[in-house]
Amino acid sequence: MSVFHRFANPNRFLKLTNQVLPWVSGLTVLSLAAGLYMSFFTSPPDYQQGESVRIMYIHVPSAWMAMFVYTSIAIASVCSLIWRHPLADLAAKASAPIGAGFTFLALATGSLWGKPMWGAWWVWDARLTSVLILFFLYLGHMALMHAFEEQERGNKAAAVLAIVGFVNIPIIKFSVDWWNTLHQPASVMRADGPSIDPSMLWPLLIMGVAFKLFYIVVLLIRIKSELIEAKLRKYRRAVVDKAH
Amino acid sequence: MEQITNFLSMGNYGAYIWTAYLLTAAVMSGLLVTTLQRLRKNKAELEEFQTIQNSTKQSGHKEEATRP
Repeated sequence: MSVFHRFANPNRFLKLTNQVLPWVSGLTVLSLAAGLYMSFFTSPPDYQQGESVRIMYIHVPSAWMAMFVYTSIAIASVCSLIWRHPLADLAAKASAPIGAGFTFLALATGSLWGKPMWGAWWVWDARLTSVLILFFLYLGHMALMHAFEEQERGNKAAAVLAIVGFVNIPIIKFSVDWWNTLHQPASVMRADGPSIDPSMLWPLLIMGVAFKLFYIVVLLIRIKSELIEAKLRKYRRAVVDKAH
Repeated sequence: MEQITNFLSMGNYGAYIWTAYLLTAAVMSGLLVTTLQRLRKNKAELEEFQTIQNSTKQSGHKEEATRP
């Protein structure tokens, strides 16, 4: 708990962020470049799907991020409601648009992969539908955050939505096992280890790391921005009070 | 030349693959750019407030009294 509260101080957080940000940004660029190179040049075409398998290297990491960012928001929401951690609300607020972006990408790139492989842009099966619901949960979270004049109430409502909506995450993960679907079952995060060939697994994992680092970079900048915005609100209120 | 066209056609899946990659690039750079723009705007506004605050501190309370 003590480590947890050490970073509750916004000034300490800002100082640490400014130190860490250049390194994480550099690592993001490096891993993204390596991941893209491997996706296009060192990984082979699939024996069944041909070159179309290359969509996997952005589709799967996007889908991982869609679930990872939502899980982060749910954890931040618990921290906000129970311990009133001052940065938790900011982290949740800053994460939602990033998560929504990745969820959109998972759906869109999946559609672009589904058309040539399944012959359909979209099917209403459990996996696709539950990810679509995840996308709406993100939009609802963003709308609730801005729905109230008092930011506090918006934070609370959005946090409750995020926690309740978390049921959807295991449903997404196991939807390919529980229901009949055209979608492939898990081939990386399996109890008996990955079933995918290393020549495809490596670019996939590196792209996954690159996307996660990208999330951290954008998240840190957004939290920084939110902290400044909180100061601005104070200044604006002071100006209004003076005018009266 | 033929190598490049071969690469771009991606075994006839080029249209799907390149659209997917371009869309991903667009969404991710869009997120980054809007985030940086907002940070810059907020920083500028904060500086404005702080210079106003400093100048009123320096000129003391005289100016305040003359305000309508």
